[in-house]
Amino acid sequence: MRRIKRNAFISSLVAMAVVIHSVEMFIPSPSPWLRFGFANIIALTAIALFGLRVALMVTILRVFLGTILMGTFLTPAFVLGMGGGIGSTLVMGIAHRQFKAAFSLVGISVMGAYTHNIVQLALVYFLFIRHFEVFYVLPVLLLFGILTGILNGIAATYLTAHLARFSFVQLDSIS
Amino acid sequence: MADKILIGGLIILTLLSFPIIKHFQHEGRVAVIEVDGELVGNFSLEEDRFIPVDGKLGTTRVEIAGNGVRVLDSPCPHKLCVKSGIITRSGEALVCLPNGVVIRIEGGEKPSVDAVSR
Repeated sequence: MRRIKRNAFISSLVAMAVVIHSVEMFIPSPSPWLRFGFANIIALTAIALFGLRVALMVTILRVFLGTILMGTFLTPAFVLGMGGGIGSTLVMGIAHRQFKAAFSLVGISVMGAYTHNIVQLALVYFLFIRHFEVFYVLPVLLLFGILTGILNGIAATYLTAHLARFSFVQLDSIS
Repeated sequence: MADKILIGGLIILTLLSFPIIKHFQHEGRVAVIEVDGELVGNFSLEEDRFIPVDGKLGTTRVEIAGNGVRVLDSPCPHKLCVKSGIITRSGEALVCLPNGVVIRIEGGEKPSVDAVSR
């Protein structure tokens, strides 16, 4: 029973992430493929509540379902979403496991946001637009990324605090 | 506490990268001329010069002046390339389809628009 509750809970996390991902598409952005990354709030919360493995699952499912819903499945947005999402989730997961004592979720979130942007821009360069000019937006993007990271971290802190009381949650999980 | 050091450090790193990127922006502003896909030459936009480009119909006369490049004359029927005027920014191009001549600008400042359709 506990297992079922746990999985149902994780599914709701995925659902929330998909909603955030989809709504995010409507926010104006310099490029149709580059998005803010607010869905990382859920990824970070999943890391804090269940660990890296579950968080990766949530992220991958989120990109699949989100892009299918929005009609951007297998488009550049899909590739960038996957790349940025997996990259930042990995970084956040490892950082959380190693440095949880030193950094709060805000710091970890900023690390994730930073890598999210770098990975996305690198993917754009290597896969889509092979002009070095692509990197000219990097500084601006990174500054916004740091801001988004801070906001995400704050949101994730609240979310984790409220959700931690569920019994099937595995705080400080190793996996 | 470590959070603030991290964030402060990343902000500084990002701000530092502004001038570094700016440095690359002005490097090598060059007009790349190709005939039928084959490279004829790379010409710096900083040096004013006339370049005769031989294509299948004849010679297209290209001029680099005032940090830009334009087609003065071309043996094509519609002279669209001549009418395109002067191009100055990276990513812009002049094309003479009948003669097979393509002139592109590479390196230099990011244009304010990503593409221009004529």
